[in-house]
Amino acid sequence: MSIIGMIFAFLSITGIALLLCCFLQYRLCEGIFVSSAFIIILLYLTGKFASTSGMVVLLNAAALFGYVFFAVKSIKNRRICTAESFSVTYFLLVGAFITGLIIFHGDFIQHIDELHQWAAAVKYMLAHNYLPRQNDFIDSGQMRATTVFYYFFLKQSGYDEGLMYVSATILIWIGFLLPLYKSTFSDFRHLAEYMVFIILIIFSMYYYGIKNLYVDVPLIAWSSGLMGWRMNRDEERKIPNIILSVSGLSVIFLMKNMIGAIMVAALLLFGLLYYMTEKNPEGLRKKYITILLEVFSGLGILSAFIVTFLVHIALNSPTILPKTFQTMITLAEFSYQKVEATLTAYISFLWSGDLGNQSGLKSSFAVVFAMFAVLIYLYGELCNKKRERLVFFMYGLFIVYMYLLVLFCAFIFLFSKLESIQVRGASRYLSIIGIYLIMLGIYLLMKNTKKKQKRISEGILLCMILFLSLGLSKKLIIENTALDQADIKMYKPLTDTKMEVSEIQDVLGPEDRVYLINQDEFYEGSEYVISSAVYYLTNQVSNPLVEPWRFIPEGCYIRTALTTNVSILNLPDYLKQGGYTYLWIYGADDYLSMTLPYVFPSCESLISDGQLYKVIYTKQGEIKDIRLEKILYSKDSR
Amino acid sequence: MDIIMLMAAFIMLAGVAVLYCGLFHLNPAEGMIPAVLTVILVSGVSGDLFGKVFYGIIICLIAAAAGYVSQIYKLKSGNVKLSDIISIYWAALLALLCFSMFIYHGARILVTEDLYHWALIPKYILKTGKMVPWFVEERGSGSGIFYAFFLSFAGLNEGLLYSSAALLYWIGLLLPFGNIKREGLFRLILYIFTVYFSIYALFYFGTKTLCAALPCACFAGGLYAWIISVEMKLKKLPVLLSGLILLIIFDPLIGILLGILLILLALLQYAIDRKKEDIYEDIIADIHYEDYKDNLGVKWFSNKIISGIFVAAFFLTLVIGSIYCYNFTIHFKESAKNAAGALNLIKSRTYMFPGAFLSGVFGQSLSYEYPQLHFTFISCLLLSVVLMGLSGYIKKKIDKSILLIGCSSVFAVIYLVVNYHRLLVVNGYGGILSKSTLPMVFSSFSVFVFVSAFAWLLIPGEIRLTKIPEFTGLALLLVFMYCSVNKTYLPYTTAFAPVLTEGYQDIYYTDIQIEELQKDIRSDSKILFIDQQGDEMVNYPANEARYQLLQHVSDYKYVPWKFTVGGGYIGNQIDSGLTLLDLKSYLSSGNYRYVWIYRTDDYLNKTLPKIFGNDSFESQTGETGKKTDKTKEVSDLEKQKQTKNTDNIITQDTIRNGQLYKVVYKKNGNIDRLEFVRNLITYDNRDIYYYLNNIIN
Repeated sequence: MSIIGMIFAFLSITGIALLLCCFLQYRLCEGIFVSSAFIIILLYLTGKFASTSGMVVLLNAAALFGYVFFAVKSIKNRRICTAESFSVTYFLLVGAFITGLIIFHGDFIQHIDELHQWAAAVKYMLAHNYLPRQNDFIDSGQMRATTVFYYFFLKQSGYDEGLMYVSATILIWIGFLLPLYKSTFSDFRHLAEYMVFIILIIFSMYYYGIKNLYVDVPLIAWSSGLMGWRMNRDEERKIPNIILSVSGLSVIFLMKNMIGAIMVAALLLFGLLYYMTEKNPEGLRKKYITILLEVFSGLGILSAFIVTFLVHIALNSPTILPKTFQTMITLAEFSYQKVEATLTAYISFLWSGDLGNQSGLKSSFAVVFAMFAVLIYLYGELCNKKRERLVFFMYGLFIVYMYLLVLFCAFIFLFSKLESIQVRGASRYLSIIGIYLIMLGIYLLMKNTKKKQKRISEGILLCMILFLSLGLSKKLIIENTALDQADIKMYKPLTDTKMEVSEIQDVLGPEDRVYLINQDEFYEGSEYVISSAVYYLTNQVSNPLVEPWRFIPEGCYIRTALTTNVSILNLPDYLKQGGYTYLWIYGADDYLSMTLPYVFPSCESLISDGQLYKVIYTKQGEIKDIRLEKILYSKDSR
Repeated sequence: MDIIMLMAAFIMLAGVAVLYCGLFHLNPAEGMIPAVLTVILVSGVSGDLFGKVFYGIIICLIAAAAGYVSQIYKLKSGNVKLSDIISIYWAALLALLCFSMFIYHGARILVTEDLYHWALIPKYILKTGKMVPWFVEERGSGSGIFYAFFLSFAGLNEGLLYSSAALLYWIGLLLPFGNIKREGLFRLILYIFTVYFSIYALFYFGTKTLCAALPCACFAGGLYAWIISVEMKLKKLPVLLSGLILLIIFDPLIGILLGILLILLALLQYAIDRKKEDIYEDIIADIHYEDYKDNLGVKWFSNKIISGIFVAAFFLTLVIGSIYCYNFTIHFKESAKNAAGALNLIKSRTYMFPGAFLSGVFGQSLSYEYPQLHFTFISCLLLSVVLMGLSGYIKKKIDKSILLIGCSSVFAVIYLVVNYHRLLVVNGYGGILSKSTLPMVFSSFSVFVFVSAFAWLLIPGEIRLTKIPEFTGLALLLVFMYCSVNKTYLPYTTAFAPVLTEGYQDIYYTDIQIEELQKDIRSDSKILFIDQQGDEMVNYPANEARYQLLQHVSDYKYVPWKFTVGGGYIGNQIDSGLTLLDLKSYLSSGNYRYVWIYRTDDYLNKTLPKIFGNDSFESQTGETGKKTDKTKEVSDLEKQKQTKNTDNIITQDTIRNGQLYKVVYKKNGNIDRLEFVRNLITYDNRDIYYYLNNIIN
């Protein structure tokens, strides 16, 4: 049933696309791009203010209308349903969809941010039919363009974790296949190479590979897709082109805070430069390049100066700054040591930090940029476009410079000191701009329609594939499909938690809440345990971001930080505050079994892994004691 | 001395090859293929029929003499010039043989596969003069006979064993380069170096191996490149046929699979050559691709015929594959009949199997873990396909490159499908996780497809205007050297620094113990081998013991060698129904005289005395005690015996690593007890004190 719902959703996207094709002379793949952009924008707007379920029905009705309209029109005019509108690209998209249905069948949510952020938001939307709002969702400050797209699919198929990944794949391929919307069946080999290349480059240069619900890969796909489309678009249509660009850009803007806006700016700049390289007559070229160089370097120096100035003021006399900025930098523990340590870590990460995690080839950002430079060089040599080469290389250099500068500012002004010194998440942020640049080189090479140059671009793609395939490892299947699940990194903590959660849910009533304690020393694993508990129990479990989840003699852990002024003696207060009726011990250790009997006299020292305790309140609402309710399937009893 | 004898054997082989060259007008590399087949077949058949390999060698000697005599006669009559006979090919082969004799001088066998199977075949043949039964364990013994032929001149020497193995696979690898002239020398050298380094990255055991999968892959690769580069004529048929037979007797399953592909390729090639014979001459280097594409009629051959043949080949291979699987199933079911619920177990495994297999295809490194860059099945196939396309483009033979690419990629799929089913039936999910199963399956195909693509790129053709093949070859040489050359390269592929290999220590101490054992035991008595700390997957001591003592020691694949609380191990499978109590029945049924405890653990220390030691001792003392009460005629002799027995009795404290026990049988044939014989030198008591103690005792 759920797969039929999935297919239905895919068909309704196609239906809307057909409607657009009839009115705006799009090819089918352009239509798909615009229709999914419309779906995202409409659902986003309605989700902000009202229930989205009505909008889903409306969109399906529009799709139905699209089919009817297309049928009527194609009876009148036979030419429409020829291969011209159904390019081979659409069939590859369908192929990717079907492959996704097979290889993600029975998969489960397995990455840390998905558990408390991306998949959780989809789950939330399915339950409430509106976008997550401030008070009842952990982190609602994010842009949700991808979430509403996954919601559109899952609303029709029903909740299924494997299908979430399928819808994410569709979103990615819609973006990546847009530039090749014109392809015919004779280009099949070229397209297949292109798709293999995409899979390999994301496998080797993005931390989570191609299977994830994070917004980074869709962002790369849509922005580079739009860029490639700009090079190959049909210039004769005016309004349809504008509609496509605007809707695409707004979806990119809605995909990720800040970085979405940066990518929009980068794309606009690219559009401008591309327009100039195409339209300008030969004579102006050299002068124009000098001007561009001056503008770029001027902007670069200016922005560097602004950043230095800002840092200087924030360090010396922060009182001049506006109030919000002041609170921001105090929250981020801003200091001279932080700036210095972050700068060192940042530069060394740029030079040697691995952008991917799964490939055997380690590619740092410096290597990726060098790859971009080589591609641009080849573009100039092989297509004989030496001046364009200079322009695009300058463009690449400029946006990388600005991007890195903004990212650095974000680290020092927004991130906490620990996160900033570790440059946490830098690999994912840098992947976005790195892959975007490489795609720029590839699209420039692929643009030419001459047969000989097509062979050259094919050869270059093949060389890239060959190079990247040297890094192939078992993770390609293990981490990117659902086929070899038992080997994924966090399989054991995730499945164990899921099993214990399902047992707790049998006990839990609708009003009950459970407090989670996990004393396991294995840090990374316990992060997954608490996140997946929050994912599956939502509001019924304690929130590890604000309540302690691990107690040690020195204090306790809240979020990922050690807090020294809270000890296990404060546990009853937390239980009372949150109105918890159960206490769930996922992992116990000696410290817990020694100290817990002091807090609750009757629980003695039988404390071990996987236990559920009932919290007993007195009539006055004070906590009296706890008693053992149930022994859960624990990881030792396997 | 033995080196000179090995050279003599090589000269004899060359003589047989020369005979074939004269008979069928072949070049020396082509003549070598039927010569190898002749040597293997003649010595194998004579060993089988007459029980003596020696007769076969005599026949080969006569053939070689005939070959040389005919050549000398031709020289005298002026039909052949001396420069024709002394070609670069012979020099290259001889140089490779000398090189391998140098790097393998004094080598030891340090790989379990070689110890258990591949080295055992030549050793058996040399010791007994008889043939091993054909198709031992469905793995083929052809390469073993070839090694035995060489070693019957030189005497049993492990280093020379590896040299003859190297000679065998180089014969296959150099097949396409038989006609090489002075100007092609650089390419030949490049080819030899690149392939030599690539084998360490592409083949699981590297170049120092006796495993028949490597010669099989090399012969197939050589034949593939040879077929595509020569003009198919009827007189080439003996080479092709003997090559195919060699493939099958090297490795039956993979040999048959590759053989089908080669026949298919030869047929298509023959058809193309017939049809397009005269058009090639018109092609000049600078004709544009578009022009000769139509001339050669790629369209003609890329439509119905090729697809028809591919479909036929697909079904043929599926049929053969399923027959194999069926045989394996029967074999497997019989062995699993006793284990309760074994078939249910397989079902639960099959659920996980496809994912594990697929991740192996995409991500399993083909070699040991040691190279820096890992080649996988897919990346090697990709590399080869690109090389094939490149050489088609350079040589202006697009149709042939399409043919090669098509054949190889279709065949890769067939190969994977057949092996998927074979592994599913034979190994199951548990087996596929072991370290060497998947690489062994994938690496033979990878070597084959890489060698064929690379050889075709480097074979000097008629049109040689670019240096691209040389540059590509050099680049690949760099890539493979980057992959291979590191600290592990010398220990694992040569005889130098064996101490650094994984199994050296185990094998070294096993050898010392075996030397000591042989002082005590009679030559015809059998020993049961127990190693409680042995690794289930890679068990060096058990394999080394089997290699050194042959049938005098228990075979760990059929007799339990490790006992745990959960059951006993036979081979690498745990049998939960097996306990230490069953050891008695194994001892008496196999008629073992000794028990050799290589390494022990707490479980054995506690349980072995209960079964063999105290109980039997107590009952004995009880009986004798009654006797003394009744008769008072206590003979001093008996008393002495008794005290001696107490010294030799097994108790929990006396069992330690490296001990030999004698099995004492009762008169009715049942086992009475185990009697301590001596302590052996082990890794933990290797100091001189224990050694001296042993000598004094």
